[in-house]
Amino acid sequence: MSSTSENSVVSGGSPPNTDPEVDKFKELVFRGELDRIEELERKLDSQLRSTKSVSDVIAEAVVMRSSKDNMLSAALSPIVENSLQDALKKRPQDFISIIFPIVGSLIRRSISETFSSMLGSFSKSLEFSFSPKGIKWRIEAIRAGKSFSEIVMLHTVVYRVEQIYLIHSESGLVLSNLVNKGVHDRDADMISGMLTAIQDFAKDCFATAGDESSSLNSLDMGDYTIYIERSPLAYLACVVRGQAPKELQVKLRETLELILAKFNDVLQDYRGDDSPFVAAAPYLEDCFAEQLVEEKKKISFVTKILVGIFIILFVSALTYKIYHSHRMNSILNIIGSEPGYILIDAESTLIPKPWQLVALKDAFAVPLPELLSRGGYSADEVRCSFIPIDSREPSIVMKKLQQKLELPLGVTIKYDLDNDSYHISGLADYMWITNAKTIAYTIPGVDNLDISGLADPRFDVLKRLKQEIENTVIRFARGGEIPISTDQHLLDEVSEKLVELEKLTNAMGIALTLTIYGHADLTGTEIRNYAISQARAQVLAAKLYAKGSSIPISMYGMGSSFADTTELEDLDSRKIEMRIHFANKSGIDF
Amino acid sequence: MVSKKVCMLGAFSVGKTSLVEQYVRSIFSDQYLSTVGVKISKKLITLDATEVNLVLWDMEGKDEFVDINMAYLRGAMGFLVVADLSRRETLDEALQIRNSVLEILGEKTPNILLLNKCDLETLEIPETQIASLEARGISVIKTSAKLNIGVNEAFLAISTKMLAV
Repeated sequence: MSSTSENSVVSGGSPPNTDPEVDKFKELVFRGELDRIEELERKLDSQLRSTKSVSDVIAEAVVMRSSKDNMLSAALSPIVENSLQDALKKRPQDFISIIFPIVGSLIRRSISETFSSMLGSFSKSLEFSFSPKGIKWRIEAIRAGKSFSEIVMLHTVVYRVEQIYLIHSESGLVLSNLVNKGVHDRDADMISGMLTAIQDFAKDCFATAGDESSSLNSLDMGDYTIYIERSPLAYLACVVRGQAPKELQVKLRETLELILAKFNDVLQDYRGDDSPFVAAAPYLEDCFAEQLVEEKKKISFVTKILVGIFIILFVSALTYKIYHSHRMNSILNIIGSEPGYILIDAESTLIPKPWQLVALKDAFAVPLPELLSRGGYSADEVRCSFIPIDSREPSIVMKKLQQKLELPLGVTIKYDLDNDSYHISGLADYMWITNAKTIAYTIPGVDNLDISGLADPRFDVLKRLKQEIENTVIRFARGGEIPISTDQHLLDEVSEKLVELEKLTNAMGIALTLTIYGHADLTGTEIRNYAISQARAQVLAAKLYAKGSSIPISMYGMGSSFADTTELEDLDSRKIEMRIHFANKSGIDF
Repeated sequence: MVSKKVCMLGAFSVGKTSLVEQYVRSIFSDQYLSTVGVKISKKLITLDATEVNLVLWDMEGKDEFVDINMAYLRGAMGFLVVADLSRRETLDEALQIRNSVLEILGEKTPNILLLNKCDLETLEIPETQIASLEARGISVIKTSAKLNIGVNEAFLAISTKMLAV
């Protein structure tokens, strides 16, 4: 071995020398150097052999260790990072050329995912905002004093990692912490401090002597569970809403191991400076996970359309029903408040048109079609059965009075509400006045009638003529039936007035009767006097008949029964007197 | 940013919580509420251009029945031990606690002895004794949580000490 080495040394230097003396001399002079050369050759040989044997198994070894744990990648990552950093600094252009083709697609994918996530959350919010469920949850949020998003999350999330803390085990100071989207960021230092204190307290109270490994693994509070993954240097506290699967705890364990591998040195010398732990955030972010409640099976599109149509039809029918009911109520109000109508039944049908009505109706009430058209309605909208009645409503009674009395021009009717009486006034024919009262009282509702305001202007002429005729005395000459010369004209005047009176009474429909009383003085015998007084009465009757009058006349010879007894031949006792009687068509005198 | 865990220690009713409340929230209440276990507060300050996140562990007061839970001290980077100037025995208690804590956390752990309630008229701890404490190398600051005397100085001083380590 030694000679081989020597040979190799020599062969690597100068041409071979065969002289033994020279060789001996060389050995004496270069003994130390030759030994060192031999040593170096041996080391080189050994390294080459080791490298060869490592190169044979290195790939398998890397695969085997990687499948076992992450220590290899944790150990290699600083070297790789440093190498990459050096390479980037030295040849940035090369890296730009390499990554340029993939950067574009990465950016596009990132933007697409962001938009998709944004649209997803937007549609979710919309879904819950306007659905009945959303309204229910909103009420629940108001009642519970929580935000709407919290309540939505409570109902839609099976579990969700909301906060995660990397905490220094000894001091309880926060090294790094992350809060999931939409979660209120609470004071991490206070939380980590109290969490550490609670763990210390629990350990102090419940751990058995010498059992240093036992510790608090989780805390439950309402919907939240805090999972704790411990190590001597640091621990992870993970705040989870809902029930997290076991895999999450495995993930926490792995994350903590990775962090410990990376930050071991920094943790060992930790003095409160948390800036190195900014790099721990990506590890923590990997622990954020959530599982949503599976949505119930979606309702099919056709079902939605059918339900939509049904809702539209139902709402339309309801709206129409309300509209129709409103119209019908208006119609009922119009009919109910109209004089001469009394509604006694209104029956609504399932199909709302037309309505069946039953009403009491006066013949003089406004006809139903006219009444409905006044309110803008059609008579087709109702089918009405009427039961005839006589209404006592003043406006109906007035109509009846006007129609039945055939009011002459200038005659008016008024109703006095206080006395419940009807007042007829104006100028009218005497006969009409006489009939009006009779007719008016036959109308139902007319209990009190005042016709004192009615007058016939011819009645005054009638009265005047009657008075003038009755005041006239026609005196006669002695022993005969010839009026004295001074009273001759009176006979003609009275005759004329009686003819005028007859015409007037005929026109007014009044029955006229004339009674003539003949008188004689005391001269002569009683018989003679009766005869002469009778003859005197006949003088006027003959005169009237001669004028064509047909007045019924009653003539009485009174003899000297009413003669002045103080004088025998008294002129004023030889006379005739007239009395006039009027009677209406019923024969009643007035 | 640098985070520092500071423990508040001392006998019961010396004003540890009041000092923390005065420092963190600038409020003081005469009402005495005994702390159970530990209460954690924090205050962010800037000291010589360094942002310091002070995490204050206000611990339950020590008395004859309750001993300090040493587990809470783990990882503390400094501590304030508080005594009541109107109760002499609280100073002895404070010094005893200080020694115990230094044994656990290490002799070089930054600490300050706060003599609280300096606003009171009847003070039982004489100035000579305070001077002798300072002579022994103990940092002493007189404070009043009620009148906010020396409170900021005390927390700034402990922060400065912790940053210097």
